[in-house]
Amino acid sequence: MHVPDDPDTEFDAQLCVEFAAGSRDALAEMYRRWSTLVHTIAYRALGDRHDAEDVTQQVFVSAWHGRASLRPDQGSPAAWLVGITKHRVADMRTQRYRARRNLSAVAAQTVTEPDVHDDDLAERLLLVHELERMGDPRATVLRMAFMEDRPQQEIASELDLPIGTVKSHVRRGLIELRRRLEEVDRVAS
Amino acid sequence: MSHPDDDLLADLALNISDSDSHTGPGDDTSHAEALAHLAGCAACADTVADLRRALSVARRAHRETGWEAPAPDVWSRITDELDSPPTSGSRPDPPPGSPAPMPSAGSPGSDGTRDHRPGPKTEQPPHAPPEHGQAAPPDELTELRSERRDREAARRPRRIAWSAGLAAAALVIGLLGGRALWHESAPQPPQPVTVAQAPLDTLDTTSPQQLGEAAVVRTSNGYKLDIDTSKPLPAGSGYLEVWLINRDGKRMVSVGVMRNGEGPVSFPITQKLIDEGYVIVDISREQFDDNPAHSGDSVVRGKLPA
Ligand SMILES: [Zn+2]
Repeated sequence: MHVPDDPDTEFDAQLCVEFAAGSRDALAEMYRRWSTLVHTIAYRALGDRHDAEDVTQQVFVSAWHGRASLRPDQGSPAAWLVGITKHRVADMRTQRYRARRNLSAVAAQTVTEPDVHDDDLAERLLLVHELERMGDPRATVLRMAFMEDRPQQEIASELDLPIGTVKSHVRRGLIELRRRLEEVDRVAS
Repeated sequence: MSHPDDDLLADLALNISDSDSHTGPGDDTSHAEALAHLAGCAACADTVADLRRALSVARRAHRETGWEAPAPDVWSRITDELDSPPTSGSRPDPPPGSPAPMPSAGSPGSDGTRDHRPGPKTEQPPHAPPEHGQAAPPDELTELRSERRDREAARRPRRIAWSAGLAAAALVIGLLGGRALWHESAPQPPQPVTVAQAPLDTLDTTSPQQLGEAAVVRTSNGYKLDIDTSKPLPAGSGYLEVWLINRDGKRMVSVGVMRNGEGPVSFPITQKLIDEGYVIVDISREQFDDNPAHSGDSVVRGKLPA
């Protein structure tokens, strides 16, 4: 979706086009922008720096080989990369599980064991990362509305914005976020 | 009535999950019409459910202070791998040459905050041979597309599979467009229906205590998880977070935060979660740190009947 007050959107779409066309410079730019996001997700999910770096490497290599599946019209390379990251993290877990199972028979796990995964960790980090790149007042409005759960009226008076402006930022932000999550799902599921 | 536009659906998602903060009046009529539309349109009901999932993700996001950049050599490992002769397998090979120069795992060297711009090694030939990409074995990403289509095709039947209780099933079929059934089995403005319920007990294995109850309720706009407690749950110095754990005991999602530690509270959830087996309700004590993962400190838990 074209959001006029977010100049990055335009840039992202251009980056997608170049990347899909096979530009290694575009790959380098994607790495520069999103390798920290990818690596942080992997590190939090796996708790191991070595594994996280392997996943980061695999994500960008897979991204390159699968660049035809990046849809420039979606304009969200970040969501696309996060989808691939979830995939690679899951693969890494499977590998580890096999390795562990081969080492010793693991006693039957109970659900009480905190070895459970936080499934939308990646999505939340994606959102926060996107908010950090987004310009104001939009970023502040969304941070207050979503992360701090403040009423729209309160946001409007605190930021001295018309309530209509706050409302439309919140709506647009939510619609955008849903599209990002869909993109993550499309790739990761 | 034609489908309500995106903005209106977004408003519904915002209002619905936010029943205690009334957004201004004014568009009550269009809201009411849109709500009525949702009851009969599965596509729009799905959209609102997705928007509510997005909202629930957003509400649980915290400001991030712990970004971790990968070590500087990761970029060169990537370019090395891409520049190495293509292999026949469809899986990426282990990174060539990574064992030798790799710092040992957990090396404190990279503090994560420094510039992670790719080094001068970026100056690889900027034109990767395009025919290489095309001739490469179909990557799983491409396959994923068709899997996704299959999944979508399979989605509707699965909706029905889960519902506990005939009334709920009839309601769901009604939503899918069976008008006749709809009129027979449910009044026009569908009442919320509880489709599953479970006591929330402490994890004490010898004498578990019931401190509350969880219920999955189907409303005209999707599903919600209701939590009620007999008394405020102890949050200690932190706060309480509600999770749905998969019956595989391995995966989980955070559903929301219990502000005061007591019910009744409700959280939007999606059909997809339930379909995928997230049926164990867990309330954990969390500290105000930057770690969004489950603390492992569960206060109560209950399993919803499948
Ligand atoms: Zn509709």
